[in-house]
Amino acid sequence: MNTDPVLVFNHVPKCYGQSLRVYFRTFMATHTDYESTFAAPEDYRSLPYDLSRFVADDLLIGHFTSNAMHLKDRYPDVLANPRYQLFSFVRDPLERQISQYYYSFRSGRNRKGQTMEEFPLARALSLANNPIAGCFPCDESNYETALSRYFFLGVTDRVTDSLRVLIERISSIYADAPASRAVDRMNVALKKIRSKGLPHENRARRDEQAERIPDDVLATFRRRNAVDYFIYEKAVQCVDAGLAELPPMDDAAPDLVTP
Amino acid sequence: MASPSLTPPAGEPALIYHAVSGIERRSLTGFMHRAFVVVYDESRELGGMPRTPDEIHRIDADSLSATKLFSFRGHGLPLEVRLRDAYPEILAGSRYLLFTFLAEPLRSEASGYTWYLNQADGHPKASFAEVLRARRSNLYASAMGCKWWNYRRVLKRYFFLGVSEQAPAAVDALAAKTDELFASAAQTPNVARARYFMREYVRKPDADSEDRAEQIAEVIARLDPAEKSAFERRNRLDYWIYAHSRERLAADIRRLRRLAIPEPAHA
Repeated sequence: MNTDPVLVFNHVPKCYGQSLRVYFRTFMATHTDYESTFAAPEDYRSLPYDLSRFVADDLLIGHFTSNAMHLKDRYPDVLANPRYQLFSFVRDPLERQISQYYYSFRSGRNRKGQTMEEFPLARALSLANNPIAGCFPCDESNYETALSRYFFLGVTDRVTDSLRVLIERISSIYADAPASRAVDRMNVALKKIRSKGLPHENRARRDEQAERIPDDVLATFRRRNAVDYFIYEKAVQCVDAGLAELPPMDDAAPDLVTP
Repeated sequence: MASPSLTPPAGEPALIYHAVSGIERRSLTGFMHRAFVVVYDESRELGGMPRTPDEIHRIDADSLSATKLFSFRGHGLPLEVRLRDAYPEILAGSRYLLFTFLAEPLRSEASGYTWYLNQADGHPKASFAEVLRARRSNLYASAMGCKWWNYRRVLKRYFFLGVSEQAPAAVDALAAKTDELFASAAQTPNVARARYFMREYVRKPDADSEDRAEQIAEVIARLDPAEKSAFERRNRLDYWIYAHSRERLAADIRRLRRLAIPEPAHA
């Protein structure tokens, strides 16, 4: 029976996931599972991976955000079977939403082909309703339970700290795993990558709208997205707790590139 | 001692790319990366290129599946590090679909030479003729582990032999032949997914190009004809392997056309 731990990265959109995917690709087989790579949504729904073949150096990455395609629906075994090790990165909810707004125009995925004048940032912010919570999915009543299945939640705004903690946590998982060829490969690679920097991709350009968000819009956004702020706070605590367990950073280690 | 594989062997077909020639065509790399998840035998994070068999961090071949393609580097490695020695289970297992793409041997050498020329390492550079004279001969044969008396039998283990100079038509033939074999296998989720993405690739293939193509042509054009003849003599077996690959590819393309498999986009 295959007992290898298998990493699963629930990629919350606009939270540095693309850069992390590139980073992990240098030492793992990254199985990307995005609806956007399929010609039609129904193709995506009908063609999931068979995860039973995955081993320690395989990594599943996807957005898993649409209603029918949350992890619990697409890969129910991932949540039920402890061999799957889940992690995610989140970001300050306001920053994430602003980033999403500009990305939607840059990538041509904006609502109904509208221009920025027709669909300004303030309007987008007023419509947001806990999109981060929607990725797990959870609400105010169960977010702690939903997040407890994740061995790590990183914070995009503190990517250097987050990555240090993440790699240490992953190293612990593999150090404790029964020896196998894939576990051996991962242990070798993890030793090497501790000092490796992160590239940055997917940086969205912004205009002056992001500097002039009205106070009432900000207040409404914070109220409507309270669960996202709870999740963000949990992630900050996760990174802080992880950092407290780590030895001081080696002065010689190169700093990572922050977004 | 190497750790065991803990994965139950899969019944699924799995593609193995034996990267014997250093020339990479975009149509081939696009096909591999858009239709499959590619796992490599070596990387910087695993200590770079292995110099001895002990330095190989072996993948779990049992974990290879219809969606997970294994690329084994077959050039630039010592003789001791070969696919057949590192992964005897791959050579022995019928579910592993082994393929390679070969370039005309002198062009393959010229590709390696232009890479070397482009390294800004501050060292004076040897001429192409000097490099050719210093190289071991018949590198394809060495990587594949064959001699003049058995090369046809060794090449039979490769389900597909592509020719770099005929990409992307060769990539279309590879996709069609792979799909044919995948269609006859049990239609597991991974097989269905791989077939879907192969079809998607063939429908919208990457524009083909070759890294440093003009520089390679220039290096070959400048080579003294006597040096070229000497290289061809020293590497006669590789030229036989290359010629055999061209014949196999032509036969594959003819057969696929007879079977009325949809006309390849580039044929």
